[in-house]
Amino acid sequence: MSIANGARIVKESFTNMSRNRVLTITSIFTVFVTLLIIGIFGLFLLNISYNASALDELLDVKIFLIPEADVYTINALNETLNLDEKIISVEYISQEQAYEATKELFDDDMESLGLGADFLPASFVITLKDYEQVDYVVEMYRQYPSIYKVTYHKESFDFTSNYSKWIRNISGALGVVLATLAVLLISNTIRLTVHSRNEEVVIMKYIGATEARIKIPFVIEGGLIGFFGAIISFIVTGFIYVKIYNVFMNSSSDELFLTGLKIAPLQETLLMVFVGFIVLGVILGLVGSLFAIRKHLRV
Amino acid sequence: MIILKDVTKVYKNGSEALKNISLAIPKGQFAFVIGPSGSGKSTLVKMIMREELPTHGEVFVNGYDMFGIRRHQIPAFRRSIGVVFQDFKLLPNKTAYENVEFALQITGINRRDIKKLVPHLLKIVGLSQCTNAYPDELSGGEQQRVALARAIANGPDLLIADEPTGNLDPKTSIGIIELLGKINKMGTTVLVATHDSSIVNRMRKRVIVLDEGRLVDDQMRGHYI
Repeated sequence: MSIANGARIVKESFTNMSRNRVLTITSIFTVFVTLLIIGIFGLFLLNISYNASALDELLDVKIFLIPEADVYTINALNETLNLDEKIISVEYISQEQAYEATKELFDDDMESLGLGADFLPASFVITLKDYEQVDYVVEMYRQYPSIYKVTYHKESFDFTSNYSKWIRNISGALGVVLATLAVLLISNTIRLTVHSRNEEVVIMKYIGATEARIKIPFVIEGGLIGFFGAIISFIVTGFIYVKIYNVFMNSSSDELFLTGLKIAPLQETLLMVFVGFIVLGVILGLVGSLFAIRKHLRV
Repeated sequence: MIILKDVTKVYKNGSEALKNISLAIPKGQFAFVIGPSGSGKSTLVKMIMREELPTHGEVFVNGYDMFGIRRHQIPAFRRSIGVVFQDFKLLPNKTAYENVEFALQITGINRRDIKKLVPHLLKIVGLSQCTNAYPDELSGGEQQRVALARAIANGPDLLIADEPTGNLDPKTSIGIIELLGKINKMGTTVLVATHDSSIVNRMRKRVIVLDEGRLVDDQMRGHYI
């Protein structure tokens, strides 16, 4: 195909779009909404995983030992924990280590309060392979006579195991529903374009146009709808993200600082969103138009 | 070259449009297919253009077997035939020049050749002076001439005209049929489906008569009674 022919075909696609302006705008809007929702949920999930290291600390389980636990008991428990397949890391914190760490927090006031190194119990800090097994693991180790107490941040576990999964499921389901809707609408737009140009298509068939020559302008049209929807979606999503990013970076709010939450870097995130939106938008457009012309444009 | 062997066409609704038709139209011949409405003329034309396939029998056109032809070969086959219709089928948003140009563009001919060919084709059909006119600015006869220029643009071996004078007055009809004769003299096989007796009787060419789907008469220098 020559450059002149290629340019002519692209021009044809733009002409089609302007002829069916209302439908074209509706389809572009659907792609925009689809990508906007996918993008917002996607950015939320991206930032959750970006903050995963902060969450991981909250997801540790602490096993406190009774004061009477001797070195043999501690070693035996250490071995049991290390052999447990549900646990990925085990760290032993002796009474002295716990005391030193607490002392730092309270600016050495511990001694003046008369609290000695035996004030705090020794403990194991374990990280689980699967957060969902936390209740089972906690309950199991609570039965050990050498263990005084097992603690964990229940809310953090609940958030990670429930909410993030819910967010992922909801955004996935919404994404699929909206993407299907976008494909159907684009498909409908292209189908109407095919009908409105039926006479031309018939003439093209009679004068010996190949199937590809007849179909390509419609496929390009679908791709362009997806592309424009993606661009608008990127502008809106990018604008929202920049606003949130600025709040995070310029915030003097102690509350926000104390949460320890971080936000994914601006440039990389926007570049990722841009590429993702364009690819997804164009794919939605192409799939929509291919659906429409599959049966209608046989030579 | 057109060959039909024992061709029968039964549509889905059960109506039998063609009944056991066999005929051959050699290369370079001018032939009319005549008959009243519902006689099977349009079905025959559609079969030759591979718009329809026969229920029984075989159809060969320009060396292509209509049953054996592969989908990707159909465009090449269609370029070997030119078609004109009663309603001209011109693109209303394109000028006479652009309508003819379109047929050449579609088949991938380069721009330089198109610029030479289009004026030549419009000259053959006698429309050199109307190149920039849109279809609604042209008379019926002129529109059919543009359609003819487009039909011969790719140098077809066969030209099919389905009721080409159906929308034209008698004087204009004669002009069109003479133009078809001129194209035939240039070596193109011409097949005209019509029920316009005046043009058939004027040309004194081969006349194939259909009635209720049957071939009832076939005269080399026939006329329309």
